[in-house]
Amino acid sequence: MKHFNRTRIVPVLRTSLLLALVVGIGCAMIGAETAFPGPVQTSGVGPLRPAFTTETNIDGAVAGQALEIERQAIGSSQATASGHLFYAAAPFLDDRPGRQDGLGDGMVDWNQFAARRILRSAPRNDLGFDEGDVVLEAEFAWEQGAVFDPWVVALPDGSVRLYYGTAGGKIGVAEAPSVDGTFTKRPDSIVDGVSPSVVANPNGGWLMFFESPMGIGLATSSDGFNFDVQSEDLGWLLPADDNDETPNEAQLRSPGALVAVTPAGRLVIRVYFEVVFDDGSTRISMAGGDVDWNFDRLEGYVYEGDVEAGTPRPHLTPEGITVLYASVASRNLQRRHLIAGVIPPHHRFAEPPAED
Amino acid sequence: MVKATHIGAAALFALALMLPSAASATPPDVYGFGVRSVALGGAVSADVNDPSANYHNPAGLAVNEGIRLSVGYTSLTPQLQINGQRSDVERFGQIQIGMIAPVQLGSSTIAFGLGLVLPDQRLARTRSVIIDRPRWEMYDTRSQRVYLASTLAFRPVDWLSLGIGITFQATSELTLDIEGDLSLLGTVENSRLRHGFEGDLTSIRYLQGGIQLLLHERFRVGVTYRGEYTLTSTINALANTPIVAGGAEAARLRFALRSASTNLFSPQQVSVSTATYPVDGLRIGLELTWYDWSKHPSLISTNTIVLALDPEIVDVPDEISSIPPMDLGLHDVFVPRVSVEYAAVDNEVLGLDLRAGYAYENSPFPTQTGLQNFVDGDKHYISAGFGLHLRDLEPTVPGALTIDGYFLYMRLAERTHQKQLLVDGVGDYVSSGNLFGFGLSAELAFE
Repeated sequence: MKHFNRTRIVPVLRTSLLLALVVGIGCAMIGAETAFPGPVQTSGVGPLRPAFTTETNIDGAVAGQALEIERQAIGSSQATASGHLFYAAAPFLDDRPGRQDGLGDGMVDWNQFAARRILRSAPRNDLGFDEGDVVLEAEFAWEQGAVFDPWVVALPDGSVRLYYGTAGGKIGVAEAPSVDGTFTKRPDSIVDGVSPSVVANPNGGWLMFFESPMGIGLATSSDGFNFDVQSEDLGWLLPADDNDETPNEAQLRSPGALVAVTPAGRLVIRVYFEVVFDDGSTRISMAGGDVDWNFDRLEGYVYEGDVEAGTPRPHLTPEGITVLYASVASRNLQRRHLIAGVIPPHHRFAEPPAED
Repeated sequence: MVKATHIGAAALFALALMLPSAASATPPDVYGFGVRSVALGGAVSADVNDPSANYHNPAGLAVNEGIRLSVGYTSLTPQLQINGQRSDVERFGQIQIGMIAPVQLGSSTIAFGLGLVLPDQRLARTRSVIIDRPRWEMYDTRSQRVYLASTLAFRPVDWLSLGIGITFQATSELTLDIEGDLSLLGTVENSRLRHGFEGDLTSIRYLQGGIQLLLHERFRVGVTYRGEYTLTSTINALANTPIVAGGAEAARLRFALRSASTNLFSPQQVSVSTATYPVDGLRIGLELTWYDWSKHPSLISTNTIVLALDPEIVDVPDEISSIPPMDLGLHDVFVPRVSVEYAAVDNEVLGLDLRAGYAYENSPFPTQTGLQNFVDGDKHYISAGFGLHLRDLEPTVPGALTIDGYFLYMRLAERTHQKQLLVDGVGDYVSSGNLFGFGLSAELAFE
């Protein structure tokens, strides 16, 4: 091993320092803070984000309002893959009775309105809709004067079926050659219940989730017309917690279903529904199930806004985004508003409006 | 209303702090240490003798006759994806400095070494875990850490070298103490709150050691051990504040939070390595490393929160709960590595080595089927590099200058995370990714 003398050490140190300086200055940089990992949600559990006005192009009375109609009350609505909106609505009666006693603040008193019928709005390039035209009205005795809760299923040949609820507590079905065609009703009801939501059964045939007097029921069919009721209550009501001062769930109703394929490639059935609490308030929750109908109930709520919400009808975009159309209580206690909600909430169809 | 707002703020503060906290291992564990060693896929423990021996095998320090100094820069750019969307994981760059100082004592050699990694963006980072946001645990935070190793090696006989080292890290304990008066009726400006902050970074040390057996001029064996350590991070927040109304104390608010989390964990590791020189100028390295990942503690912090108001003039929650620590479910892994080095040019003035390395790391993280979302994937590691030796630098430098460089590609295999619960807060996702890196260093080896 050699020993350094001073004349040799100095150039060594000089070279080393130069190297360190070049590498250090040339490469080092001051760190910029980066964002936390972004959110990911593919399960459709929400929470629902009311659509921005830039997404609906409707500056309504409530956040996310997707349809503006004058002097009418709105029931459940469904946006279809074709971009049409089917909804139930009825205009005020000129000479209407007083509001029913005991009706929750957010509920529509349909006695104050003309008979409900089903309307269809044409597609737009956003999440909002213009007022539509009537496509279905009550005509059979078993419908008892009102049709509502539309649910449209498109078939591969382009024809559509429109399932609907009636004031008679029975579900009917109508058919049209295309989504914008004329509907022809089948004369008989197909299931006892209201608020039908029909999706293709991943195992073949059709599944209908519907509201029964017991809760949310499930019926199956091979042809979409003849249904066998498998259950009148799928048992999704959360048990009451007597130690908790918050209201307990009392009833589930108005199911709206979809079948999704997750990024993992598995088929799941998601059913959104309205939860009625024992104090009369309402929220939206959901359940997820596999192809064998094993369901998990979400213990929280998809929509917990400051207004009461219900009648959820989901629509899945090709990108896997759920747009949930629902009705929310209005400041005018006589009617409700249709809103569009986006799940997952971080998704943007359009940038939010600039703040004033 | 004022009191409710203030108590709400305190509760929010508590909730913000009680979020789970972050973790993982050292930068060299993830990205390697030393440009030559990275180019060789880390399969170097049997014969490493450059400054990267401070990490790979301290015994290699004593297989030197002169002082060696190196400084280099390495960079790794992750391009990681979840469901086809780019994850926001930042580029990682670091300055690596290494030094070896051997001393000849008769027929034996003793060598001192120092290895230092300085991240070029921040010296340390701790980030909360947001449990329902999938995070690339191996790449998000763990790289943001200074690494300092001090080593000593002894070569008593020609065929045996022994090394031992200590690596330094720091745990942290931070305390926020709030006191003063909280006005019940006035505006925020009427409240007089003071806070004190105390931070304590306590150093911890862990052991590493190694052996190199120079069994034959064409065959060497190395064994390296690196000890386990856990860095904890503790946050204390204390408030003991009278709430004043009309000049008198209306109530007293007491708030205490203690959040203890694992900030960084490095598993104990054992590497067994061989280096073979079948013909002149050709080196083949093999290495197998065991990582004891199954000991990894939960990444979710343990929190104790007390919120009391005396008398209780507004409702305060009886209990503020958070997610309890959960088993990560990690398993031990064995990582095989292989490397090839060929001396393409080798004369008294110039030398050029060409290098390549490969490693396969079976991810210790399981697929994320439950509440946790720590994303990782099995990793293929492919590297290629060079070493340019300038051997005739006298009289400017009494020794040789080596310029090393590498390019590195890591492929994180696609992994499907299918949740058990069909209403999971995140849902199913698919993760995959690529990482691209380069490194450049200069090393002076004095005669």
